Amino acid sequence: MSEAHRERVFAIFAEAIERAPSERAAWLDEACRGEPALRSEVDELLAFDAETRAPSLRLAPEREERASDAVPERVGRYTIDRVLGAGGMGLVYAAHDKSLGRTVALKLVRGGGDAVSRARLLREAQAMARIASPFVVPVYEVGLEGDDVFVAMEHVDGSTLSRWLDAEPRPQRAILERFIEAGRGLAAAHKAGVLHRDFKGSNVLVGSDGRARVLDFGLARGIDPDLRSRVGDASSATLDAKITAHGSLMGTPGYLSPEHFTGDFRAESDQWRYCAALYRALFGALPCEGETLASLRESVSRGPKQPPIERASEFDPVVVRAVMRGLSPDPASRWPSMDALVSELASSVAVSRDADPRAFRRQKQWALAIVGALGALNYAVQLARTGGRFDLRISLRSIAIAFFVLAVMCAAFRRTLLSTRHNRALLSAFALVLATMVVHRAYGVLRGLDVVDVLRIDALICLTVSAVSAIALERWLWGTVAIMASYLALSALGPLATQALFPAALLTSAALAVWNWRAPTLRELTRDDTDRTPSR
Amino acid sequence: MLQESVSRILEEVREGRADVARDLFPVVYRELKAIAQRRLSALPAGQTLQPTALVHEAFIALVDGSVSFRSRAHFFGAAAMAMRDILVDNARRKRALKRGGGERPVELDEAAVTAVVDADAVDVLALEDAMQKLRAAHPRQADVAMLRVYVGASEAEIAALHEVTERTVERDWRFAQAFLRRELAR
Repeated sequence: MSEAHRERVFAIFAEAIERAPSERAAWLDEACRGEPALRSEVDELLAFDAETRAPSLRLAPEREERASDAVPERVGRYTIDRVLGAGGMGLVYAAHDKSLGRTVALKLVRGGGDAVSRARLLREAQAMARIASPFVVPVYEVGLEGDDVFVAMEHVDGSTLSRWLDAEPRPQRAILERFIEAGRGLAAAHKAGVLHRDFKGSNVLVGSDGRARVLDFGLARGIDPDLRSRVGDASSATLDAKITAHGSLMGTPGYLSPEHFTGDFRAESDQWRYCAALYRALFGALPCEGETLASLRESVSRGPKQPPIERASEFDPVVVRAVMRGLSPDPASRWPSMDALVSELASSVAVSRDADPRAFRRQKQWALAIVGALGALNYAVQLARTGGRFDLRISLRSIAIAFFVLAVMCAAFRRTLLSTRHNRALLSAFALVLATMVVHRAYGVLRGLDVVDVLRIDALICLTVSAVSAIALERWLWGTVAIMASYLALSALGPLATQALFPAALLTSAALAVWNWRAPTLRELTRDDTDRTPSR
Repeated sequence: MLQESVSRILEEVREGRADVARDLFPVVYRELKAIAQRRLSALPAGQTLQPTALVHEAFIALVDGSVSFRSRAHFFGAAAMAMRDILVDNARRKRALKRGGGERPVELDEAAVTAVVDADAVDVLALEDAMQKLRAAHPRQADVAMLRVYVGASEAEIAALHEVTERTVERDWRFAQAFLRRELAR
């Protein structure tokens, strides 16, 4: 049989298992039209796929499971139903609690070793049971059954966060919401004095209700008492042994915090791992990578990579900064607590009202449109009152109104408008021009100067301010500046004659700015204002 | 030094020298057997060894920290083949024993290997035949199946080793299972 045929068998099988059994036949009819051989082979494979009683193919059980360990029928007062999966350090079963008539997820950790490590394991599980948070899988009961420790937890119907992320592209807001929930779970754990130690997407469950819950707290640590002493010397062989014992280094180790290399694990290390997972979910890459343990260690101590520019520009700078800070190599420069980090992230979600990552741009455009409309209204009222004749007093009043509107807009849209350096530079230049005009025109009114002279000087002042500020502005704004500057140059020659051109110049340059108003570039996001980054 | 030479082989394989991969296999094979024997003598009767634990121990013994993560995929690939060979050789010998009658004392390494898995759960030789058919038709799915079946690697671990998503591994494994079951049922 041809290569192409075999590939199609797999492709159709893979698509068919994604569909509900009831829809499969109709879909297969369509997909295999005119190819009976293909259809019968896929049908055959699907029949064997469905056959749950087929002999287990697993010669080597996953490490949590031992060949000698048959599935127990009962543990405590729970009747074991089926295996849900292998998590943390033991198998997890779906079990039924008859007395309360509910299904629980029951994790069974086989023979926790000697009495000391069993006691430690029990303590950790009890600590986990103390965490009261809607974002942590609640523990119902912790107990001993012979040599085994069992933990009965809520049975969450859903998938893990990493699968949830893989399943389809998720909007930034949804990703942030899940991570904020998981972050609240971690924060609650830290308050209860429990470290997670192994935070990653596959240790977070997303229920069918959409809520994220953190799973598998610190349990992994309990099982291997001699690990701690071995980690003390962090030679790469020891670390290798340690990590391989936990099975996470078999592949690419994504989430080794700087403290993993020194063995000094603390709450900030949980924070680092959390940020690494969020970084990956947002930007699709890991913050630190290395081909070998030594180079990974170096990469981690250098700090996170800059996120890819084309991705980062889609994101709220507040989020990018928050994540980058959480990934600082020095634990002292990270966020003081998970709570602080999570509320920073939450403030971003509260602002972006839309699932669209471009919500910020839309908000800026709205802000400009409102300013433009109010400006035009203001100008129209002024024209109507003066009948086209220029009156310094009335113009003074309308400039004062414009100033006030600008201040109100800045307050209302402050997160959007003031979030980046060049937005702030632009607005201050604008405010400076208005303020200069107010002062200068007020001076003209008080001294009874000639209106035309005042307007001429106004135009020259504005021209100077525009020319100077153009140096500081981004290149793409130069077009806008050039339009305003040429209007101002004309206006300096004949102030009264060019009055009518003012709204035209204003609207054209504003339209150009709206057109060009892109999300701020990454360079600004990351280098921007150290002054605003809260420090400890 | 063994560790250095295995690490060097892994790096050379990674640089595209496929011929060196042959040198890797016997080292891994010997080491796995040696570890199985050592472990078994320390184990109370009736207990079994985990292949995963064996492979990990061999990994720590054979590979030093300077080896790139990508090279580890080659190591675990070789380990899966070594485990498979150990099991298949053992099953063949057992069958020959049954046929040949004569009461030969079971050698230590045979006992070690039998203890590794409950080899009665599935016919190792039939599984090997099915696996070869799978490899001929769908090599990628066969790679996943080898790591699942003989090393006990989880889907997440295989995804990391092969640098693909877990979803891909999950689909490959499901397909491989259906394929192998069909072959075993024939």
